[in-house]
Amino acid sequence: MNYLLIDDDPIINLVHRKTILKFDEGAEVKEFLSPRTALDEILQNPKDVNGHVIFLDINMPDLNGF
Amino acid sequence: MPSNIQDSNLLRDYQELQLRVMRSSHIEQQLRIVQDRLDHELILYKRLSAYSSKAVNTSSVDELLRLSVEAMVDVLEIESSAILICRENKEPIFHHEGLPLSRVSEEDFCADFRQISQVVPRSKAVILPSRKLQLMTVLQAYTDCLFYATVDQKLGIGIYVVGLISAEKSAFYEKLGEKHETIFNLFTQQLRSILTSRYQEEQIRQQLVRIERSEQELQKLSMIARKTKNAVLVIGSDHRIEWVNDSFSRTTGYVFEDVVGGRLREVMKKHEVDVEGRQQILEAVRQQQSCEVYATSRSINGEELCWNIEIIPVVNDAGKHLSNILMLNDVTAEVRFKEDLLTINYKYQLISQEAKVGIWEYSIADNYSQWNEVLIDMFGAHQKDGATGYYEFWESRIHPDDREYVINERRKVLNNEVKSVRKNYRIYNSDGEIRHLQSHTIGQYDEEGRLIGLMGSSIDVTELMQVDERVQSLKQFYENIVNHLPSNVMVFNGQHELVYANESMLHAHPFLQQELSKNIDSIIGINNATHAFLKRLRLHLSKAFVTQKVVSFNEVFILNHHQRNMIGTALPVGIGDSELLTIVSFTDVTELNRFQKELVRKNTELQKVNAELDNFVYRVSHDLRSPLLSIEGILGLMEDDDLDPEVREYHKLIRTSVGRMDSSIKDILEYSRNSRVELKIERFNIKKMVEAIFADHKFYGGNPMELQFTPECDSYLESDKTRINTLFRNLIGNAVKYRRNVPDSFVRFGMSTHKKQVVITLTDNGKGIEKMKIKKVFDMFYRGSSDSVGSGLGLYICKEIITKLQGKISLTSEVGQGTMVTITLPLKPKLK
Repeated sequence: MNYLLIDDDPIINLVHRKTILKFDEGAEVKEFLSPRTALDEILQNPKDVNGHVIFLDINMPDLNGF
Repeated sequence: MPSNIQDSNLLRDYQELQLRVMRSSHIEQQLRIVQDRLDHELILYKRLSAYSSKAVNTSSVDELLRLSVEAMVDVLEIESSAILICRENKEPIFHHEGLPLSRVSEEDFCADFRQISQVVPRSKAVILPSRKLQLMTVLQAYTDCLFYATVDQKLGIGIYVVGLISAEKSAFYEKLGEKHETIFNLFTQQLRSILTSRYQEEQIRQQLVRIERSEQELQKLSMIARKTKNAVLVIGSDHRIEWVNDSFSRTTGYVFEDVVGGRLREVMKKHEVDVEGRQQILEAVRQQQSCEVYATSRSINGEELCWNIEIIPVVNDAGKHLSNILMLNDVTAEVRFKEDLLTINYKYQLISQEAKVGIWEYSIADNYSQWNEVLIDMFGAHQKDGATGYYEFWESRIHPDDREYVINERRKVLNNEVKSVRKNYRIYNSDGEIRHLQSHTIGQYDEEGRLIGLMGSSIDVTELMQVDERVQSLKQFYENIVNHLPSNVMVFNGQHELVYANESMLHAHPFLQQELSKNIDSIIGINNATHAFLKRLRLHLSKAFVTQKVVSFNEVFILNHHQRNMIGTALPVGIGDSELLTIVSFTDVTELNRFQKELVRKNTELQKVNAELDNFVYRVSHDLRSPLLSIEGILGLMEDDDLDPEVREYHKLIRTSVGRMDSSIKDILEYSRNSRVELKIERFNIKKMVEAIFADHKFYGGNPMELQFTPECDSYLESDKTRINTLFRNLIGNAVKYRRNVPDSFVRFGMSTHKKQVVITLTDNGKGIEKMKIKKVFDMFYRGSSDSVGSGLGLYICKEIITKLQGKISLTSEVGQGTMVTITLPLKPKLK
């Protein structure tokens, strides 16, 4: 299972990663601190993110989750 | 001596012869005397005969008498003669010859004549001896008198004939004797017969004239009867109608043949003569009396006719009643006119009475006035005031300040200077009150235009005057207000003439002072700016005038070299039915505009600040919450079974602190949300909401608690769902948090809907709040006790929400018993 964690707070990303790994040991977790970087990545390989679970903070600087 | 004897014989014979001769000559002489006397008498008789033949030919009585007195003196050879003829009802005729009338009056002679006639036999010529004459007043101057007096009853005349002679004055006095008596007798006989015949002739002539005249009269009368407008009826002594004239037929429609021959009684019945009139006429005809009767009848067409009937009985010279003449004067028109007049007069009186118009009339001829009742009441006059014709009374009641003026005005009409005057003046009525009268005095003139009197009317206008005064003072009042208004006001009338401009207006445009009462089209500005202003004003005025609606416009005035922005309004106003005014007012909005702009700017600024502040609060709260959540996350990661119990205890403390901080931040967020977000009204099931909220709190820990609903609790509420949710989250949260440690803890929800509002109660049997603190529980950041776990914002937020929802919240509580919160909300909150 692939996970994308997008949050400007690295602690939240850390908490999420730890919690995910606690329940799903083979999980592949990718972290982004900037929503723009995350969006660029997703737009470059849109097919790659198919079936990915995304944890997206909505209130972020520069670009919000919506 | 024979011779002697012889001689003696002879002498005797001679002597005898001589005696005889003497005797014969005496006889001869005697004879001659007789002869002379006879000759003389013959002359007298001849004179008498001459008189007779002359007298017969005289043409008038006067001439006859003149001749007679002359002839008498001649025939009888006397000194004077006189004839007096006395006639009934006429002046006596007196003629004389030789009477000394310059010394003795005619009347004295006549008186003596009459006296003598009393004592001498009638119709016999007598000679009165002088001793009898001695007894008379004037006739005593004469020696002898011949007297004759006679009375002719048929002709109604008395004749006195007198001849007089006095011995001293007459040269050839001869005592009157038989001869004179005879001649006088003859003379008087002749005179009498001629005189009588003369008078008879005259009488006959007069009768002839009279007959002729009465014939003419009769012709005239019948002509009049026929031609007169009056109807004429002749009623015979048998009470049958003998004759009617044309007028009768013309007026009644009944012709001659219809009426003549009929009995008066039946004819009158047929003509429907009124009963009373009928009786009066019949009575008058029967009594043969002359009288006048008023009666009505009907014409053949049934029209009512009114008659003044004069009944004239006709009687012949012998006093025998022949007929009655009925003169019928048709007064129908007069009667109708009089009736009309009475009606008009009555109406006129009624009108004056109703309209409270006092009316008076003054007659110059009588120097007397008459007043109607209204005027009498107005002045409070009494009977005695009227007895003298009111004038003095009237004068005494006029207000002293008005008296001279009023009397002068009246005199103008009396002096024919004017035909009428109108005047207002004050009087004192009987209560001493001052009343204002409006009065009118009019001269009355006869057909030739001469003033015969005055008439007039007076109306009490006191109340009107008072109203007028009030109106005047009100007008003054409003004029003052308008004059001192800071707004500039002008008033135009229906002809677009400037009738008024207040002081502010005149201050702004002084040139208007000279333009008052001019038409706007003819007002010329003093410069280009005012010119343009007037041009615009004309447009606004005509627009307001045509549309009859308020016209608003902007205008710029230059005042003290400063530009002022004005708002102008042209307001058409109708006064009464006829007058139409347009009020133009200008209000200086320069300051207002500035303030308004400032206000808009500040408001925008404030809104911006507010929004920024809200945003700031939100951001701060949100940004404060994320690190807290991070802390909570890390704490969760650190929670492992193999933790040191002491560390576990610290963990728990950290968690509690983080939780309190988070809930405080959430409260702040909710508060900020309440003030930021607009109301959104929807219908929802509040019972379900309350149940869900209670379920969230159920696991708060501690002893179990029950949620109850009152039996008559409504389910649906129409309000802002999110806010109501926050409200009950706080309230139910409080109830749960501060419950007592008893087995039957409960929180009870109730809602009832009334006419205009919804009342919600939330009751618990918790710890309750001390009385002192109840007042403060809704304050910001107030926390009731040290063991309270909230931010102190919960109930403050509740109050803010209720305020936003236009409701009220109150709280009653008893320590150790419980708390009841009562909320009233409008049935449908208004969206702002």
